[in-house]
Amino acid sequence: MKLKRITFIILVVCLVVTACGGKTGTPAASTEEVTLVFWNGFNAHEVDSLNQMIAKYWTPTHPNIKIEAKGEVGPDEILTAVSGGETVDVAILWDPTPVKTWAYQGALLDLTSYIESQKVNLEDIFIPAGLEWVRQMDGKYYGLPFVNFNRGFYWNKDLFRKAGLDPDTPPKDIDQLADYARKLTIVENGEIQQLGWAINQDPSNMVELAMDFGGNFYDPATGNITATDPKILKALNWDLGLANEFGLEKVNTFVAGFTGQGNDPFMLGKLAMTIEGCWSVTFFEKAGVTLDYGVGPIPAADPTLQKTNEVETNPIVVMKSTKHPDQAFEFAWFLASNADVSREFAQLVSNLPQVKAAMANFSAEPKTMVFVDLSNSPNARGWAPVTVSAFYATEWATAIQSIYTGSATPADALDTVQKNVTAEADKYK
Amino acid sequence: MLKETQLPKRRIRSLTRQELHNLRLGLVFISPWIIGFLIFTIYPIFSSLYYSFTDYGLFGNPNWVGLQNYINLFTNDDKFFLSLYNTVFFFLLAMPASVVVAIFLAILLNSKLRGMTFFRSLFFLPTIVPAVASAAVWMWILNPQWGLLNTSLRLAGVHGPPWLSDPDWAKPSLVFVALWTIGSEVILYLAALQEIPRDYYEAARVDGANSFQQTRFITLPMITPVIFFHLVNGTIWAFQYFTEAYVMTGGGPANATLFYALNLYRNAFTSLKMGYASAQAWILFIVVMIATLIIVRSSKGWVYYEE
Repeated sequence: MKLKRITFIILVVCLVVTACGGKTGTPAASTEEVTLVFWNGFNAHEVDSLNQMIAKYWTPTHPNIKIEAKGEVGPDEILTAVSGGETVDVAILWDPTPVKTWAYQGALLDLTSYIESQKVNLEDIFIPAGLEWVRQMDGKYYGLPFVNFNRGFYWNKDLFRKAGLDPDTPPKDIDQLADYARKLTIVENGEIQQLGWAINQDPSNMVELAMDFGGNFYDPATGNITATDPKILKALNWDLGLANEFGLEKVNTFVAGFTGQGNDPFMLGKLAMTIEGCWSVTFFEKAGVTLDYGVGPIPAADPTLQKTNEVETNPIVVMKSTKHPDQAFEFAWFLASNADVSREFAQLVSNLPQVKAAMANFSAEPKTMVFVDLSNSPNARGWAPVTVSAFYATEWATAIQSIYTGSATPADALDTVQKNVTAEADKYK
Repeated sequence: MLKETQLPKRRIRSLTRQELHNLRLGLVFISPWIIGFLIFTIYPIFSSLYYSFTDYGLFGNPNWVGLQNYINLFTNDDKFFLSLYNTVFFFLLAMPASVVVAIFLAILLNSKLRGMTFFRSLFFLPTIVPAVASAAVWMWILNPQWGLLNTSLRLAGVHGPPWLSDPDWAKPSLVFVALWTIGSEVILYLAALQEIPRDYYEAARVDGANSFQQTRFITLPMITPVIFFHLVNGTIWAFQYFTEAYVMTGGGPANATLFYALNLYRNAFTSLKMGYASAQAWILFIVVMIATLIIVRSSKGWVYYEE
């Protein structure tokens, strides 16, 4: 009997608790206290800092909108949780490629009308390149940018000196880059000991190189895939040609020797010129690397292409399933547009500010400022902010691998990419 | 047949109050498992079957498309066949190798030497290392320039291939990695070896059998039930192979390690084609089912059970 009574009490308590829980789910007026569930892909210590920033800048001004933050959640987790009915109101993704796919599938709230109500021109506030990842072809916004990142040209000044080159003058164009690459490559006993230029370092770098040749991966007006752009082909042939000069197999062996974290050939002084992310400046500093190096724009094929670079962002999105769309947008907008948050957080994660107001005096490190400047250049853009960009990236990586393993010519590899990605994109029309 | 169907009927009629009570109590006690099984196994399996006939992107409602997903897989998806080919290739390479290596190790570890428990632990140890961690370690071992393997080969005067970054070597490299974590199978074989009665060997020796003949005609037949078990489990494992490929090669180089499960995962979570991925999962299920049935059918001819 006693047991039954206890069970009864537990049941009643459970009922009361669930009933109360249900209450918070009802739509709230702005004066009513609301809690937003906010998931993001940043790692543990970054999440702590993000939470501190929310406590410092958001909470004092928005006492009625509480934020329940959870970090270290990847896109897959957010997807499965939300589709399983779990409440996530606002999310920050660690990579911008899923935004348009998710928007197409109806997972994200269309922010266009909310943004219009702010009565501002987004390109005045935000660095334009970061916006491309969250803006659809028809001009609709399904997210806001948050801390951007890009890549640039790194060169080792010591190796320049040893090769008799001026350490303070990087190659001015592609032809000079090839010339320097030859001068800076050292082959001993049939093995490459030092490589002048990072041939086939990774698919992202090849994207940069193709863009610096004037290549376009998609047509911004129509959204069509343009992987067979002759300028992309030219970039691949240029790079492969250089590899063949040194011996493709030798280059592959050399490059493959440097896989894994902390095993960066540039950092180890084995590679004279390369493309690396803006975060490497802080990474080298934190790792105690005493390397005399310079950073700048990647040498471009012609003067009109100067400062071409690929900008990406960590997009903030509002899930369509949110019960508090107004508050969720208010929070997303605050995080995205607040210059203090942008500056402090971007510094913290070795990324770049997405807000123009945070650009000036962003960093005391001149090298980092080079990247800030690059991200706002008229030639800065996203490589392929299309619905199938994640698929495109995989196909591109496969193409690069097949070219450098000798299983396909650049032209054939690009044809395959074009065929596969177009077929995939057609499914989203 | 008749007898069997009548049997439970009679028993139900004869259930006493006490037995009914026990039955109910028993069901209550195993209910966590039953409920878990229904919710987390049966329900997902059948919903994936339903989704495989739909166009479903996780959000919104699934659209019924009938057999379209299956038709597309077979008529309009090169990667589907490529990933199936890679997986079958991996299976044909890894399965025989793992049986041979596991038996070989078990026989070695079964010998009566001092400190054998130490060696047994040593070979089991890799099994408890998380797959992602061991994958990271193996990426270092297989590093073409500075890796342990190629450095050792170089000492022996052999110029090792670039392993994971060579499309021809990537699959064999992953097989090496898989063989490293073969500890649990070795333990099973070891247990089976120790079950073999000593007198069989004594009788064979009296008849003049050498050690090869003893292994061939006593040891191997006696451990066939474990080989059978290993084959069935290994087949399922090989067809679902995912983690190491995901971590170490990401399907590369040039799709050489794009295995079935990896391709399925990408369709599901990158392209959000849940219906399509469910169809892939069901085809995988059928393929594994057929492979297992073949092994089970054939087992009557070669698996020896001691009475």
